[in-house]
Amino acid sequence: MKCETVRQLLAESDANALSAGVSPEVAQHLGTCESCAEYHKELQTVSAGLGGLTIVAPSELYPQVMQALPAKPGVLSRKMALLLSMLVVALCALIIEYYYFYGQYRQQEHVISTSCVESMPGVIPTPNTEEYSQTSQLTLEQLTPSQ
Amino acid sequence: MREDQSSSLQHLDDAELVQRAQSGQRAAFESLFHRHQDRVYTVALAIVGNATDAKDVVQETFVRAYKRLGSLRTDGGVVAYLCKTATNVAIDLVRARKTGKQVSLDAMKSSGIDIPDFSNSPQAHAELQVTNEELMNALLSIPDDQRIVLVLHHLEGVRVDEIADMLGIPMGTVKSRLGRGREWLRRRLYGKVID
Repeated sequence: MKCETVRQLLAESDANALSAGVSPEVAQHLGTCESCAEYHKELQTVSAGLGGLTIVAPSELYPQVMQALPAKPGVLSRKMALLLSMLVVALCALIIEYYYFYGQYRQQEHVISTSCVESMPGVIPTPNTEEYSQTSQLTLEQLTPSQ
Repeated sequence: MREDQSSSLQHLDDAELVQRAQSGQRAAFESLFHRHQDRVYTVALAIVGNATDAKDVVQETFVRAYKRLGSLRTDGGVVAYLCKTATNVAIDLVRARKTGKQVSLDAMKSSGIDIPDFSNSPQAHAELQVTNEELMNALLSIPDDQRIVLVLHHLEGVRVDEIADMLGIPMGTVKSRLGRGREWLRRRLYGKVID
């Protein structure tokens, strides 16, 4: 294996792999190449240093955060809040569905009842709107007492 | 009285503190803040790169945690939850800064770089023979995209495939950013190039 390949593999490897162990091919190369072995050690040290990096928070952070906190903590758990919102959505959907299908049902019921009556023997079918209105107008005129 | 209360809370573990905070004991939440503020601040600072934004990220993180106290995990996952929240807030901030989009955080009002104060930080890297200050300064000199990957992987222990999912980039890109970031750090800290 070339040094360049080994270094790239080491640099891009997982932090665990870097500290726990490398592949047999890389290990073989590290055993023979002092420069790459040194590179490996340095990367391990950088990795460990990053893992333990701690910076002390500035003292002004405490009053800043405490001032920003709301008066009361959130009581509802996320699951409860989700459950409640799902319940509200389901309820809304039910109401909408009820009104929508109820309206359709009423309309259908009207059509069915009209067609049923019209299909009965001896029943005169409903005239078309124009004729019907003329008829109704005539009837009204006839019904109006003449002076 | 208040100090007594704080000291009596110090011996409690995270789960007990969360339970007490959930029942309305604000001092318990303050104890949680004192316990984890350094860790959250370190993660925030390492991602956003300046102290002003990092403080705002920490503030937003703890405010979110307080608002979601009801769902805050009590099984020892408090630090993980806080760091994850801080990471998300910080990444959003970095992305917004890149796209030039206006964000609500006060941090964006002051665009000047605020150099963090490391004076109280422990000097814990004897093997590396550098202080936290030097290590953080080296980290802050890395380009944003590489630094975020390094912080997620090394400070928070997020796996490479998870980082790829989180940032919406291929795993190969995560690995190469990790490699370039480490190499940058190594050169900065050891001051040499190995050919």
